Amino acid sequence: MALRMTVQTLLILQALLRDPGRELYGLELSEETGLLPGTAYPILLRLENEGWVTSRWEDIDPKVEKRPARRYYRFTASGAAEASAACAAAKRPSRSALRRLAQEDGAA
Amino acid sequence: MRSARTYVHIACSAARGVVIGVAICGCYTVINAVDRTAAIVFIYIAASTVSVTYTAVSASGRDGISRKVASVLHKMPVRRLAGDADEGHRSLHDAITTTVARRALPAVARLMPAAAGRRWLAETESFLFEAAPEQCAKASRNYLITTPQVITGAWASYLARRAQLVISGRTSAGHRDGTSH
Repeated sequence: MALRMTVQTLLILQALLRDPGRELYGLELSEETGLLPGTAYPILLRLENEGWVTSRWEDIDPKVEKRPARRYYRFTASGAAEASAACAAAKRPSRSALRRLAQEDGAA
Repeated sequence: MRSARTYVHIACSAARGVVIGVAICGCYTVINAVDRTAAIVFIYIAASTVSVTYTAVSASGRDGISRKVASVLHKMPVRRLAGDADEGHRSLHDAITTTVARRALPAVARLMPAAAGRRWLAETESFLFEAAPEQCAKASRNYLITTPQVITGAWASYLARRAQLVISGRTSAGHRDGTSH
């Protein structure tokens, strides 16, 4: 099934594409895209189901680090190429769409 | 053996019960004894006390009572008296929202397939642990708002995987049948 290219999906893809080899976790992704984590999570799941993105739990002992493990996301070998093609093909979102998105996230 | 935190939690629950009981008795007495305005003022004060106490003590089981009580009490009346009314209300509201949402998240996770629920819950906890306090309330609300989407997605991918397993199982059984004859 083809992935729906919403503005939020594009934002996440662009954040991951800035450095395709780099792994990002929820908070970093949220800060880079401006999306709230609840919005980003289903998109990341869809990307993972499509095989574009892979994820792993951080390998730490939460008791030693005194924080829960993070879930890191990064592109798969083919995912980065497919994502950049999809981003290039996607229509640039209009200003009104971006404003509406910002307002929705602000209200949530 | 029970840990110290368990005893603190039990004590806090008992204290919560006492506070609510006293508030109810007080309301009843005041309504019977004095005029309506005084009753409304008393009920408002009692309700605020119960709300703040409940928020503080209900969070004690997880985050440590002193830190939570201090933060809630710090955020509420002090700033309001200093003239920052909106900020005080918002902070209290955010503290309550975060606490309530953190308690609701495990219940939501139970609505998903087990593995997906565990993963989602672990991710939410990880995010809320590291996020700034003012970001937490917004994030918690957002997590709860998007739950229908996550639950649907989790079940859809779970069922798709199951269906694939069944189909591949049938296919391999068919192949075995084909080769045996």
